[in-house]
Amino acid sequence: MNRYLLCLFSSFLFVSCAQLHHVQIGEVVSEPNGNYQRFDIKVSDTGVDIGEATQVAKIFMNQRQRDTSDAVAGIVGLFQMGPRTGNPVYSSNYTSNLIELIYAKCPSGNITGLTSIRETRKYPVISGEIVKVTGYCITKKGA
Amino acid sequence: MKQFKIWLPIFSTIAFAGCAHSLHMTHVSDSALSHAEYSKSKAIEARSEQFSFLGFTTDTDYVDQAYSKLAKSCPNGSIEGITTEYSTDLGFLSWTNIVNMRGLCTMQP
Repeated sequence: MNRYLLCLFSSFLFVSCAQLHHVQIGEVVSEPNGNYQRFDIKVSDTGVDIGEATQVAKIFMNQRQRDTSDAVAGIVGLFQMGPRTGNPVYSSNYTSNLIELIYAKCPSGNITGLTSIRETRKYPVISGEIVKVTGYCITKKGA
Repeated sequence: MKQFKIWLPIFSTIAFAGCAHSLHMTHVSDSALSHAEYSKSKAIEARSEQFSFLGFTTDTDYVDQAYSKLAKSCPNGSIEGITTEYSTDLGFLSWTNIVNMRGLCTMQP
């Protein structure tokens, strides 16, 4: 049992990777008398890979339970049909306040190089479904 | 224990089957509004959907619909800081593609 837990723990520590799905950059403004301060905003939610969850759960099951878990995974799959980017999440509005977060980071509103990134940080069974926005806040020199 | 074995698969199915979403893309456009203008601006939103059953669909102009809805939400002003989201609500043998546009409507002085 401890061996299984050690394997699982090591997997979470060492087996993770990032996958980029989409990146887009906006306008780039040059202001010679300005200070450019970089800001990053990251919002994310947890995605679940039902197939991998089933595979992991099967390690602890007998043959009959494995058949049942296959059936459950099959039924869940029928209810989750459609195009996917990363793993499915169970919240639809985790990116709803991006513009508010941008103005909180850059109250002057003088922003350049706004870059929107959609990526996945993949771990065994779960994943971080991430939207990252980076940019530069321009403030006047000496301000 | 037998009851547990029966209910666990049922519970797992219900827990994981419903309300799954996949976010494909989010983009935030530029905004030239100062903080004062941002505070005065009105948040507007336009959403448009495309229902698809096993990949068959009839709505092919839902992105244009979302754009016109957004433009109509701010008839006499300009729209800045538009956040565009493209996502899919996953479902039983079917799915709904969604385009959601949010922006800040500012009136011209």
